[in-house]
Amino acid sequence: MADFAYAYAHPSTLTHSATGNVLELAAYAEDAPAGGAACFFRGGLANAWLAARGLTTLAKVVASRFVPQSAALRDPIVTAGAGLLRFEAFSSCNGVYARLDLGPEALDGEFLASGTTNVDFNEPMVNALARVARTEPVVLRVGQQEVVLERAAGTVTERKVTLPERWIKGLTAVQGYLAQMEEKLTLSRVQAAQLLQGLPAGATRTDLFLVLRGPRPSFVPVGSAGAVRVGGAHRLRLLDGLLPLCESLRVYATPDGQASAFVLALGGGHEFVLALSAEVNRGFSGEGNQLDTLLEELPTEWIAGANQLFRGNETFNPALFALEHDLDPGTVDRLCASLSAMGLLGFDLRSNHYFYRRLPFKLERILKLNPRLKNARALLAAADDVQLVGVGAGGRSEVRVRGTDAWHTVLVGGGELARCTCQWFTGHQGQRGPCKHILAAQLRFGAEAE
Amino acid sequence: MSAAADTFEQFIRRGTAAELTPFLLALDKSDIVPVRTRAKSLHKELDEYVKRADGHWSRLMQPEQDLMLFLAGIATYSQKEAFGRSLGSRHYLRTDARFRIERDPLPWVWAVLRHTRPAWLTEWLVRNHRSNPWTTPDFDTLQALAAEGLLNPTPTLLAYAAARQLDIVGGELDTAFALRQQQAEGKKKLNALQVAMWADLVARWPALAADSPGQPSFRALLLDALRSNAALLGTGLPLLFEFDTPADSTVAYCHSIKPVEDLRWLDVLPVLVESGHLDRARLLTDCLLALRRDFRRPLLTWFKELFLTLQPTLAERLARQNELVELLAHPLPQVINFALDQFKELWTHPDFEPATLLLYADGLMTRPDLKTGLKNLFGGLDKLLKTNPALTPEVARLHTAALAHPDAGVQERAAKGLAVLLGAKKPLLDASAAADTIVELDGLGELLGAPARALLAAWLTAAPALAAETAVYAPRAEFTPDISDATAIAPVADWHELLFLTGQALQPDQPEAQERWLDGLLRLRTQYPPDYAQQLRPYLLQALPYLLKGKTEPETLELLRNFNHGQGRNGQHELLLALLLGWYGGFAQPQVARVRLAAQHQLHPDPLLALARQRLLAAEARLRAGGAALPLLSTPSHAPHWVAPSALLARLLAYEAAGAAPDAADLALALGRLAWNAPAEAETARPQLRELRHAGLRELLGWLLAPARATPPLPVLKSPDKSLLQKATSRFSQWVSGEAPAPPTLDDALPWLWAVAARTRCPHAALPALAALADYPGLAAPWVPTWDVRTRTEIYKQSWNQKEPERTYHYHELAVDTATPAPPPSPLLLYSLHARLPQKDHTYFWALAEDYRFLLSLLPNNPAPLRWHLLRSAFRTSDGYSEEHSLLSKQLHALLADGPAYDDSASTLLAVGLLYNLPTGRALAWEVVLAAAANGRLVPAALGAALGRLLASAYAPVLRLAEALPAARGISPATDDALRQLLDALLPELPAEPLRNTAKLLAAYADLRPRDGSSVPAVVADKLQIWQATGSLKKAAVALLAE
Repeated sequence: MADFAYAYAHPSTLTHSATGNVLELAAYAEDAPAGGAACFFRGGLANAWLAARGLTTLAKVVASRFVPQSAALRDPIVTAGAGLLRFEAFSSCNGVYARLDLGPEALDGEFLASGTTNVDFNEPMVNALARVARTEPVVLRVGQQEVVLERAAGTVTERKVTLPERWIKGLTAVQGYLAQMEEKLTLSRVQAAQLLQGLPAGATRTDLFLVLRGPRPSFVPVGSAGAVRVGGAHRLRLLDGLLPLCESLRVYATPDGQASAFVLALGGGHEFVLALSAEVNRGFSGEGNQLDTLLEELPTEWIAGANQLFRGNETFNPALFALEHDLDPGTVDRLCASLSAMGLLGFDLRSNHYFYRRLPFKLERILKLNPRLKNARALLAAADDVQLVGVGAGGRSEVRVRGTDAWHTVLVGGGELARCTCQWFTGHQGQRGPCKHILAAQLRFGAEAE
Repeated sequence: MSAAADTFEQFIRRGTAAELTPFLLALDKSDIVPVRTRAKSLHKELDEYVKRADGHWSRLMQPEQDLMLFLAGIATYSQKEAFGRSLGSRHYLRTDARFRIERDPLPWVWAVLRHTRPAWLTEWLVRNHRSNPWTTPDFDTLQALAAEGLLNPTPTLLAYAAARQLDIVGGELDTAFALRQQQAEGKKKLNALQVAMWADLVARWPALAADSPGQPSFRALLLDALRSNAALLGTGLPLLFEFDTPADSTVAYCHSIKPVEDLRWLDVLPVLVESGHLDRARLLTDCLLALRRDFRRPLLTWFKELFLTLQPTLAERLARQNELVELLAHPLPQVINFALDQFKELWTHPDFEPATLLLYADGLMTRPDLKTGLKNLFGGLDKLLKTNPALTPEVARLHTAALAHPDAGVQERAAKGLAVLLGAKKPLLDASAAADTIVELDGLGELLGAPARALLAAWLTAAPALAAETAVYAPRAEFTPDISDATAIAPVADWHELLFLTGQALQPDQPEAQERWLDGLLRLRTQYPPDYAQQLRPYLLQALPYLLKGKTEPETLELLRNFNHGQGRNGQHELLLALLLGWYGGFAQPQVARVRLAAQHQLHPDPLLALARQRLLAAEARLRAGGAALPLLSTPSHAPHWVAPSALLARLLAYEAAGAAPDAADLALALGRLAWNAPAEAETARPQLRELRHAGLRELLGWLLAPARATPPLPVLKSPDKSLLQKATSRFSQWVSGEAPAPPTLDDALPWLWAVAARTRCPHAALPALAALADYPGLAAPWVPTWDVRTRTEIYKQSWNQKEPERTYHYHELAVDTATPAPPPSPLLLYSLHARLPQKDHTYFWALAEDYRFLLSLLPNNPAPLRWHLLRSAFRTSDGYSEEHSLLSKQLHALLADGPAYDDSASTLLAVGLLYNLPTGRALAWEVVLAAAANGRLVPAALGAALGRLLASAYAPVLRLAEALPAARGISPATDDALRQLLDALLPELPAEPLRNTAKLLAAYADLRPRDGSSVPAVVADKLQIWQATGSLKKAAVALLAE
């Protein structure tokens, strides 16, 4: 399942010297800048202590796993561009997404190149982060002048890590959810510190809902108007080191309650985002929330053109972009979905903007990372595996799709939720994206289904 | 055809490993591929299991053949084939004595390995290790393989093997002792392999051969073996600290000598240190470095114990203060607590450097998983300040940060420290630092618990006086169900909705979807499309995947024709599945009757399921008849499970119009679900009663739908003749179990339907008129059992433990009193069915676990009997498993819905929920309390009394209740008053000898008391008088009495 391998020339370090501390993050960029230079940022941290706290929490997220699982991937990816450094990571189980944004106020240095890279988070470096004092100056370097690619045998590399496909899949699903989210609650500093106090001890197997009870945030097991559904709320304990430090906490959720996000404004250009999947055993990589938008294939040159445009602009608002370029909002959505399916786009809740990650532009990833879409196309490849039975009065099409040992009845179009008789749909009722049968029906009879 | 391959096959079929090995060593290069191909095909052929004449299954391949094919694999396989399945057993490189005593394959394996030197060996061993670590060769074999250049040094394998070496050597010694004993006793002669092994073992431990009585012990010989293994000491053991190994669980046992002796690495390593074979300083440092890693928790504990076993001196700990400090960044509290413990004597030492520790401490202050550790840390900081007052601002900042900790105890300790720093006569903080601290403190004021607030009151800005808003809580007097358009249940619209609803109806315990589906199935009988069976097939496959996978439609029909539902945990799901099977087959064959609800060992069906089954039998009969089917009388018309009176009347009139008799079970359930006290609906329905032709039914419904405020007297019910009663009871029982085809007539059932109607309308009243029917709980008097908590004592003998040969355990179990088992006079008596069931452990538990929401949906007017049955069946103790928790959750969710004030059964179950061991269960119960206080369902006195009784009898610790009370306070004045009333009722129930954490209850009670100068109730005052003699409660008790 390992899709990409990356290697570091030397480990990341936090070194102490007479002139100050230097945090050097070793990087390996899959899409390295031309000329081989892979140093993205060099400069001081305005509040090194706070940044170190954020990075420590990020390290906790990548080291965490909430389902029984062995391997832990410890290396976040960093995107440098538009005056920001964004450190992103997933928990090993892929159900928690975390991002530390260091804005212009938090950085005092120069961006040598825009790009996205993996950075080495090794244990001694993470331990050393805990030692950064409040008044200590720290210089940050992301990447180094030389990157040794894993090529010939015998190349000296400190660590070699395989980047699972599910990270790219997870990035796709997360940005899809973040872009849909609405702000539900804003907590003050004191309320943020109280957030975890009402959390039942141990792992919560059932959904909890975050509500404000009087001035106090409480997690309750029953939903109500205005409550935010938080699946596997014990995962929020990852934030216990940061919550007392934040100036305010904004809580976001998707309208259907399938994901939630907690945005900690730490002050001084530091912001930490923690997004949770709907349930502990649901990794973001398994969500199919972008499949509907990926259905209609856009011309390759459109996607390539958008890629070039966004690559240059680095951040953009989809609505404004559609207005500026006189494009249908649906087309912009599909463009965004196609690019994010390759892991190229992320979403910033604060500015309501997409941001660009410089990863390789590989169109084949769209299908490769979306097996349901791939399987739906395979169904269409056979002449009679997808058959139209009829179109109802409201434009609702009834379709038969071949399944294992049975034909599935699928209803699509007519402005209602598509339905199927398969086990996936019965189990999830469309909450985790459409099944391959629905996708196949929509792909073949899209015109009738509209 | 290759001659070599044929010869090879002959060896495999009839030869031995000893004969095959020379053949493989002499194999020509050109013969390798044919032999490899033949080896694979032979492996495939022999790797089959066949049924023997005695009926047992056995593998065709004999052990010798397995070994030979393995040897052939080493000699001829490429990497791809070696990593496949056809290489056979992966155990042949194991050298432990207990394995070799059966047969010793090693000489052949080594001979072939040395000859062919497979390049894939390292990777093959690593893969095997990953999939099954037990296949890993022992440490010495790995070293030997590496020494001969057959294996690349692989630290993962070496580390694992080093950990297992203790067990391997111990096993060899154990075998040696056993062989020696065997020879000494002379009962059984050693075989050739055993003789060879004995010679080998004696060569390693010559002392074993001596006959002298002073022979070295198992322990001494084992230690000798380890001490003499330089590679293990120099290379292997240091790897234990770098990899996740089984070092924590490896034990060397000697079973041959009694008593059984065992040795662990924790026993062995300190001895090796003492004898100078291991470096003490390195071992201590390695332990601390290993503790930094994210190893398994038991392995981390092992490193911790090893460090402590070595008893490091103060100087040694001081020399490792950096390593200890780095442990403070660990995610596990056990590691942090350990590290903080090691600092205990270092705080005041002149060589102790606190700067780095203080930086790390910063990240610990709000960690909710640290409590005791933080208190230790505060103790250390206090000591530190005495020797290093310059650190006061930093320490004050840490104390302030800890005030945001969720634990009140930690807060209190931090507040105490901070109060000392801020309140010192001679200022310890400069003015600016003190001002910063106070500003910081003010921002945290809201987070502080009462004790911390009291300690820091002098520096906190006084909170603005709250509006003196008070309220008096009183439970609601009556309840009217919401029967309106807003709660009306939309019937299934069309075929497609029915089809997709099928999947949801087959999900466990989803009564809402199931009732709609059932109704749709009947109502849309004439609208099924011609190919409906084909469309249903995916759902059949989902329900019976093991049976129908890969089957054609005719095969499916044949299988379903003979399908047996078994007699296990049949419930509503199986009944509906049977209906689906019948539907798929065009209702050609009745399926519901095949679902038996027989009692099995510890699996008794709930008696209400028999009524549900009969209802479905009636529905299936109508569906089989074809044409438009009449609806079920008991299908809910309004959420959650109400049958509106007008809907019931309309259905009854439709039955009369069609000349169909209502099914008695269906009618009984319809009466149980009837929203008789929805005034507007009842008023609409009453005039329609005149249209009913059946006089008895008209009279019954007239009584049931009479205005809620004036319940008319019950008519005089005719006492059934005793023999007739017996006959009827017998017939009812047969009918419910599906044995007798003819259901009772409406007239037969009418007296019992009167009893159902009466208890539907008056769940708690005495109804002497019903005594005429029978003397049974739930008729003349409601079934309200008594309960108490009994202490069960069990004594366990533990002969192996000389210090404590007996251990006594006390269990506190809730018991609901139940009369002698006896069947009810009629299975239609919804509210009596559970009263006198035979009681055995968990007999009815699974039926409740599977179908509780459905069962509850049958009794919306009077669920008390089912609740008592639940209490009796599932909550004997407060420490349940996930099934009990799931049941509790279902019950608590049901209590969240709107309804009348809680009766005793509901209050008792709610009390159980508030004291349950799982925090999520308690959180849900608190949610119920708060919702019930808001809608008037809560009866604080009953809940408080039940809680008090449960706590007093040690059903659960007081802390479970007390820790949640502060969070429930201050939500609204009415809630505060309800909680106060609850505690008013609870406290008098507690014993005179105060329970642990009673002080926390009193603190919460004091917070909830109204500030109007009123005194506590007399019963509470009596208890406080007693408690004020106890030191820990004196202050709180006196303060409350003084109000």
